[in-house]
Amino acid sequence: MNPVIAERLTRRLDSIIQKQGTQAKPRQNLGNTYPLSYPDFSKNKSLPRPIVVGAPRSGFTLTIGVTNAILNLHKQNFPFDPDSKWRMALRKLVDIASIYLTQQYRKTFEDYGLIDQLVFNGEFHLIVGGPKWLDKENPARVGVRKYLGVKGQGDFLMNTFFPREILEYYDVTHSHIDPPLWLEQTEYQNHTMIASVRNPIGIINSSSFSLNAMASEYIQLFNEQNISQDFIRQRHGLFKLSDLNFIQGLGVFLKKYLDQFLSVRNQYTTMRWEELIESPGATISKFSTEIGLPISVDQAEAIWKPMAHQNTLQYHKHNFRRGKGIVGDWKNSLVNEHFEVLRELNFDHYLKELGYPKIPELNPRDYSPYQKLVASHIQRGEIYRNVGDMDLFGFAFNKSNIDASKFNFQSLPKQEWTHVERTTVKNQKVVEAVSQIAEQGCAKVNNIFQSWIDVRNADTRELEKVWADLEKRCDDLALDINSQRFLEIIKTHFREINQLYRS
Amino acid sequence: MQNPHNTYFAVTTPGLSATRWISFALASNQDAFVTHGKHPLHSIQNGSLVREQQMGDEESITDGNKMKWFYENLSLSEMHQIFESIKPDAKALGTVHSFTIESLSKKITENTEDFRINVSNILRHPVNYINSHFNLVKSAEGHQLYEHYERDLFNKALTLFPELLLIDCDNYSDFLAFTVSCLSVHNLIYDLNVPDIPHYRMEDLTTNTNLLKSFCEKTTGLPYQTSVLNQMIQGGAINTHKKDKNKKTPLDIFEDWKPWQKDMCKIMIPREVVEMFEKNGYQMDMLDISISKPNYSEANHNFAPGISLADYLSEQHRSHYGLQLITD
Repeated sequence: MNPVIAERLTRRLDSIIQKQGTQAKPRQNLGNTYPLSYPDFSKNKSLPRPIVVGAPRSGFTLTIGVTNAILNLHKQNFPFDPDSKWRMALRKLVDIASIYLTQQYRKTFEDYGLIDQLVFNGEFHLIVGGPKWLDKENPARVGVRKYLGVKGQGDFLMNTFFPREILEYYDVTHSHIDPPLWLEQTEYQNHTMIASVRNPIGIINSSSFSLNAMASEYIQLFNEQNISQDFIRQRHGLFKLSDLNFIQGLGVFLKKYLDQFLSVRNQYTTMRWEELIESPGATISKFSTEIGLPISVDQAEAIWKPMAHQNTLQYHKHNFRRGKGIVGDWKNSLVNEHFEVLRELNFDHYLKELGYPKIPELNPRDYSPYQKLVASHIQRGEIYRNVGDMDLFGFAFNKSNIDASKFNFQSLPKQEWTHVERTTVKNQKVVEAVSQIAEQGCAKVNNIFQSWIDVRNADTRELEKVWADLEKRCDDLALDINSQRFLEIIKTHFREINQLYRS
Repeated sequence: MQNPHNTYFAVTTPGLSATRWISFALASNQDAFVTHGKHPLHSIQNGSLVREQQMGDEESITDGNKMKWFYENLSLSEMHQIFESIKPDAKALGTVHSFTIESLSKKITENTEDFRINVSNILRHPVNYINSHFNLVKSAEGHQLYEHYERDLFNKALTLFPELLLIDCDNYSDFLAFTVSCLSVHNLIYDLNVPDIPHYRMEDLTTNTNLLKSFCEKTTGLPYQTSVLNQMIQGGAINTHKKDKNKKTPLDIFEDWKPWQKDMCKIMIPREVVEMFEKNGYQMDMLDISISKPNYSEANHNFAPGISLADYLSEQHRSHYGLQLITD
């Protein structure tokens, strides 16, 4: 299309949306927002199925949150498609499997007398909780990474694999890994592909100060002196920033992601973190139009309000850095030596491609006190060591967004459904035992999932028959862990789905 | 009201820049009345440079803050009237090291009537200054003055620079003394708001007779004898900071400092202050953080953590103000 005409049409569409947006006064409680008065884009279509892909610390969680909120606003405009019931049942199965596997892990730690030292954040209890990716060797499977720590012992990363349909547990499928691979999957051709984008230098900076869910859990359980998360971040950050190997590790990981993303970026609708932070209303509204679910600026601002500069996760209470989330804040903590590392990794190219200014050269005399500390350590060739509680430090050490090849972590051999990718736990027997129980547990629950996936397109009679059979198999899971309470939960879940199918 | 025939002056400095010696130099003209720091008002007039050269600066700890109330509460006019009552025949009256530029300019602003005063400022290389100040704070341990260092100045430094809590602390007393000393240099930033004050380098005044003579004459408007001033220069310093026969350069001193001291110095002395010193001819390269080629240390995940100030306070001073800054 002629760009001038395209521009004119876009403006026209914008003005229509704007006009209708101002007529519809949004209520603060989005759950009660009345149906939108926009032209119904969606008639005879099903609700778009978004997939959000983004590097860690790129505004990924915010993009998922915004997309989810937009989706919720539009949900009632779309017919309840027949597959929805199937998905609701699948969600119940995921919940059941999550309880089962979590209890199995906990029991193993209990058997080793380590239950009081276990650090296993609630975000990971759900089997789909944790970083997720399509298994490159078998994209019909999804990998989900679990972080488990033991106070005084170390931690380990365990990848668990499931049929990828379990990703539908969430309305917004999301992953940090491999933007092209998602596009290659026939099953996702009709999905709305979304990517979170942020200045890569900001991502590196944010990664240096981030606290992962395991560290968050540890802080919640064991931070007896109430040392503030800000101070913990500062001291861990100083360790990381004074180690150029670490910065390189973050850079190499991000570079790999960016190479993949840039090769397919035109096929993704992007949400730019900086725009979201600086003008949330306009950015969310524009984004909603781009993904075919338009909302007004007022509505966008109402969406933004509860998530602006706040933690948006339930159990990981340290995902947001207090007082931060400021565009360009990296200029107060990164130093020229970091920029040199990033230049060597060709980051200027990525910045240009993504529309950001090239890597700057800062005047060291203008460094903040924190930057001066960082630069002094680098120039002495000395990594900052005053990291405090070594358990916390170990748990907080970056897990998923770093090329850790220089850090000599141990791993266990891959199994069919699980793989302990990285461990520092002193007592390897515990890790092996958890890995074993996870392998057996994943095999069981995957069997259940597969039976349900196999009948996705079957008629109601067939579905009900399989559903009844699955109830018995789920009951067996409760017997496995010998829990009456779990059995009751299973019964409730199955009852709800039975009612749904009969309605 | 000022006597139109008299000259009033103030030599500003945060201290430890041979100010007592300079006070005696100014007072070497009998027509000048000079007070020093917050010492008793007669201390220069009735004092003896020779006696103090022999005994060192012990009195600074005991007497050095005795007249704090006087300088804090009285107006400049009131002070000068009292000086005139002590030495009615004086033609030039003033203070040395009783004010910094900042505190003096506040005093001048408070004065409602027209006021004339000769102001000059003494500088000293901040590295040497910190070194001396550190010893001063250490020697104040056990005295009442130390409470002021710990409760007021150290806590103020922590508020201004919470990064201090990250720095190595294997000796709390050294840490505190060094912090307070760096803070004193940091505070020079407040002096920069007052332009056009002539700066004199202590290092020059104590070695160059002509410059000392010119300084004294410009400050008091009185004539000074070269031979007397020359004799003072030959006689040497009062305070121990100048008795170091090795005459270490600022760079030597800096190189001898531990990494935590170097870091503290770099983070606490603002750029503007560094540049002011450079403008006055001081070599400040040691405080510069310049770019260096990335230095990849060996990646190591297993190490024994060091002790930062925060760790020290968590263990030893649970109720310390510094901990309030880093706890929820």
